[in-house]
Amino acid sequence: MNTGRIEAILKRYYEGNTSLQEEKILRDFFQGQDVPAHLRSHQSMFAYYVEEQRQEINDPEFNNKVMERIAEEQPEQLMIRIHPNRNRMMFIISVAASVLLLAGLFFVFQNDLFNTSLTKNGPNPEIAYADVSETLMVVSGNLNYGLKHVNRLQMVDKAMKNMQLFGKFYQYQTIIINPDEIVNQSINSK
Amino acid sequence: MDLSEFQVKVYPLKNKLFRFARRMLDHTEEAEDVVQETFIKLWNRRDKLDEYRSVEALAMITTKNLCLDRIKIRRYPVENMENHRRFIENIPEDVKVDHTDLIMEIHKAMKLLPEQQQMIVHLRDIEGYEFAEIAEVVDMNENAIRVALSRARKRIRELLTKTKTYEYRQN
Repeated sequence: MNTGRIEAILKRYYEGNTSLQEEKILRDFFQGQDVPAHLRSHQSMFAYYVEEQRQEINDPEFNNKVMERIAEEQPEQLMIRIHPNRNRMMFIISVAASVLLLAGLFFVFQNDLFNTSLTKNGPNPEIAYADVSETLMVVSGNLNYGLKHVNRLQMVDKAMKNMQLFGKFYQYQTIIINPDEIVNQSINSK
Repeated sequence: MDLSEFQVKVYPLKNKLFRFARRMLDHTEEAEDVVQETFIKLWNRRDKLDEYRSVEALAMITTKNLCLDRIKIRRYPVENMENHRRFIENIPEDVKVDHTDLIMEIHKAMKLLPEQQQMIVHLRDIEGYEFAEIAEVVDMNENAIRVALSRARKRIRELLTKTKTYEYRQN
């Protein structure tokens, strides 16, 4: 290699204006045996860079350490993926809850409609009686169906308590019903 | 990116990352820790790695930031001559006689440079990066990098010229 050319490249090297190829030429030149004395002061620097290029991780366990830590990281990733599903479940549950709530409100509202229809028709005892007896027929029909399977006194007591509640409900509609009568009636009709 | 792709595309960067980290930290074990941390960080972003133009640049930037974080919390300057010793053991006998002391001087001279210049010299003269690649890692424009590189190379030469008198005294 022409020493003059090396000197020219070297000058540009210190100006930060050499290409990677030119820098390789310098490294190769300074690794050779025939470096003129006046350029030797640059030699150790290039030798240092060449040696530093060869430096590697010496720890033979390094690969295992990295793979172990990567394996440790995975559960955390899974946790993050589970979370959106949990949120979706919460969403479904809350939708179901609000549907149930709306259905409940609807039935309450329907009863109100029934009441207003009564008051609109005025205090007509015949219509009121017809409505109530129709309702009671339904109730007694269901009660009969239930009593078919219930012979124990305990169960009858329980049913009577429920009927007392019904009685209170109809009291609100200004019609007084003796719950005992309803029970007797339904037992008789059986 | 799955594990096998990660092992093929990202893991082979380990020695490059290690050299860069050790340049900045001047501590072998700490540099290895930083490389591990870099891999974990990249692994946790594995779904997004394909979106980056260069995974290598991303890896180098991650290593750089981890090193800067560590340097920031250091209370005492690390005086680790282990690197130098290991280095000297590796070079052939005939070269050793002439260069051992000088090479230690070069290592010290590089440590005297500002961090930015250390990184630039390392990426250029040791890793052989193009200026555009260095620009990505150190977040500077190419002209500023050329200026910094020139300053750093001249500074190293200056420090070597001082030790040259030492070399002559030895001979």
